[in-house]
Amino acid sequence: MQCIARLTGDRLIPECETGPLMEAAAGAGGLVLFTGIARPVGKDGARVDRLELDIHPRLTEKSLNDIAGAALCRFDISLAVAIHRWGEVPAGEAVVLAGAAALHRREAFLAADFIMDHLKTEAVFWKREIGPSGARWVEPSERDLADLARWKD
Amino acid sequence: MSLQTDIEPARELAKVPLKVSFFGRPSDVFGKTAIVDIPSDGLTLGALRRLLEETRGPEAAGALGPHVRAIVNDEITGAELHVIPGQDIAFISAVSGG
Repeated sequence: MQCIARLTGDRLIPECETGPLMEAAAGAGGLVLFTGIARPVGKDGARVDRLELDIHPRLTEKSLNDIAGAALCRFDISLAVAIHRWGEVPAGEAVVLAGAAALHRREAFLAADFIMDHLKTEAVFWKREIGPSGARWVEPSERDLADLARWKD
Repeated sequence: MSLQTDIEPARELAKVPLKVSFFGRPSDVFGKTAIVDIPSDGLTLGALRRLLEETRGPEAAGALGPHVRAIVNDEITGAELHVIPGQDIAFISAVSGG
């Protein structure tokens, strides 16, 4: 079992990550990878030019590790992935890669979904949407919290 | 004739600088970090919140209210801890998630 959880301040290019993740998934029957993209519009429909993601120097990466580790414990998977960009992320660029590898696809899909729901609510980031009308802090939405609640036993 | 008493004048504790970090909404008011002088034997987080707000001025009033949690030595806490110089202290708003 392997956990790949890390932060990057550089541009996150999913196609560059896929090769190493395929290698890490060796022996599995499937690798599910979800790419989260910085949206060009906010929840209110206003234009968003970029996101700014602030991190804590230690707790943010720990939160990625904790979430990926929880997926490894909960699902029958061999690999859990949580790679997250921080700093300024222009709209349209990848901001997160979440995924899992398993012998069978269902567990990989479920684990990737679990990781993403937890990243959206519990990962230690402070995020702002920047657009023509200024900057606005973003917090988990009701939908994000409802998605998270699906995993509570 | 001189009057002798056992009462000593109150001695003020030495002050030492403490660096505090801010994440999320509090950073709009305080910036990413601030340095504030605190008593050498420390103070409560509540007292530190008040001291920071007072030092910053009227625009900071309530900026470190109960909705803002603290991180002390990498532990997120809502408790009213006593903190001392040398500890790593930050104030944070609710996390955004990724």
